[in-house]
Amino acid sequence: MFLGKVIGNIVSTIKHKDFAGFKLMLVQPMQPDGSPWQDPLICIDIVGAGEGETVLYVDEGNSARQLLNLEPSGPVRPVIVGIVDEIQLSVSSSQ
Amino acid sequence: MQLAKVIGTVVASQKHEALQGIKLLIVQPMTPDGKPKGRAVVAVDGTAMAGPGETVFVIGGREGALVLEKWFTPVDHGIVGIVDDILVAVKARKGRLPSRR
Repeated sequence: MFLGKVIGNIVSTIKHKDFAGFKLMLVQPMQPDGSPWQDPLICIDIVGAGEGETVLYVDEGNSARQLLNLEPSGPVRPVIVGIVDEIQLSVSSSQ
Repeated sequence: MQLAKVIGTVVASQKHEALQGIKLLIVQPMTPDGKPKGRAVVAVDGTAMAGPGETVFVIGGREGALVLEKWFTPVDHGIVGIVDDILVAVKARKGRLPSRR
């Protein structure tokens, strides 16, 4: 699972049938210290995350399909699975 | 999944039999503010309605093939939706730790 920050959302009317009813959020992956990491990606949201919130997301197809009941062939991978309240960093990852 | 713009189509007469009858589009991955990012890739269309000029979102890897009805297909990028609107409320800048709630 990865940490990210919700920076926006995507509105889409025409989409693959398996995406019907799901919210799509734009997520900027981040390091535990809050600095951005690589490029934003689009995640399906099942926990009701809002803009500005720090979230936990999975980026793995089988997990995503199980979470969304889309087995065996849902074309999904990044899914927001949690909203982060707090991160405690004891040791810096850059050491 | 990432944002991309459809910039063209690909025609291939000789192809794997599983790809027969499948529309191939060239998509240029882009950032939320519309700047191209990285190299253009060829994707199949899971919406059946995407065309050149449209902003779409694309899924890569194994899931790319799953946009098709017959998903045991040699494909690694698939278009899963056409974007109507991108609403960016929060700037993706160096942030702070989430505050305690």
